[in-house]
Amino acid sequence: MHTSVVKAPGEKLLRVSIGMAGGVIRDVRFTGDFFMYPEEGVSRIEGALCGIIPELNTVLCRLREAVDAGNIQLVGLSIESIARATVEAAAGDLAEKQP
Amino acid sequence: MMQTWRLIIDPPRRGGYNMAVDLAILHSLSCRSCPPTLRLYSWDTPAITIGYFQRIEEEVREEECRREGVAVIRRITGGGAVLHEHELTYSVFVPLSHRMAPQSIRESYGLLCAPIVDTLRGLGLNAEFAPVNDVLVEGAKVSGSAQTRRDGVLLQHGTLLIGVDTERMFRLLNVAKEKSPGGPSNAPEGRVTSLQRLIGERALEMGFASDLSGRLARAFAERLECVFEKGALSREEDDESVRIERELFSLEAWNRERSIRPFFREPLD
Repeated sequence: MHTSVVKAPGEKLLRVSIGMAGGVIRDVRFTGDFFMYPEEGVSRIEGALCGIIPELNTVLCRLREAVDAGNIQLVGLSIESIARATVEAAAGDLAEKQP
Repeated sequence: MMQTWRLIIDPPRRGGYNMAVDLAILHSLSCRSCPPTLRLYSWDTPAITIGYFQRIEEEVREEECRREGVAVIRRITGGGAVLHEHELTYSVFVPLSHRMAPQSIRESYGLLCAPIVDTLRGLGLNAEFAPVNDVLVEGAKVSGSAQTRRDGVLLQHGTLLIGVDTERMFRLLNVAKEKSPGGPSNAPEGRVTSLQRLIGERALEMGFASDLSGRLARAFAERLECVFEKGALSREEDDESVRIERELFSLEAWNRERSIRPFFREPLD
């Protein structure tokens, strides 16, 4: 797992930890001092990123779908920040796995 | 006619029980077993609470906490880690149908932090609400709040710092470097303040905390347009608090790993 931290101006801190396998995201976990309503939405969003290629537009698209479907309100956090940290963390995990 | 709310002023209690009472009242109001409530409380021993989405390993220096006997408890609300020591803590339980609980979370933080701003201004301080969830005086945080919504009820709880031992705070808590961009001039120690620093030693005098409680309750009554009737936990709420402390906030499983299930009274499956 590789963790990327993002703290955009005016937002809360978000850590995204990603484990990659076979070129796709296998494990993902968000932690930080942000707010999300309902709170269980975080599992829905994490789940939506599993199995996808960590390419920015794909990640953004999946995140928007999950947020809409779960009627989730992000407070102190934006979809763009989540996407940026996700892509960074995935690249970091891949780099660490290089022989 | 003004609505009557319950006002609970609790004696200092341990961290896990304090968090359990907030969840017990949330359950109670969601079943309409109690009136909307404002609870004012404090801590008999220092404790750290971490936000629902945080991890102990990332936020807390566990060895230091063990050495100093400071318990670490996961809240049911988001937001950041807090060392609770010399402070007035509040929790307010508002039905989602109430005008102070608008659908916009950001807006409701502003509405429910307003009584804190009013209270501080009443003490002659130039306080301002700083979205999402802070109240600042002269650019430093003196109050932080966190909110959740469950089963038709909004719970917001938060702190009003009376005294702060920043040296201890930053010995026990990790502060991510991303939180203090700009180097030493923006060091975290300078971003937190307390009533002791702002109004002097009278903040530590006997009777001040109770005077502050009275001021905060009056400010809430004005903003909520309600009348407070002083009350206490019902027997059922007290029993439920003891159970929730034992079965949730004392558990490593909860404090180390967030889980949704304990939010609900009934099992999910």
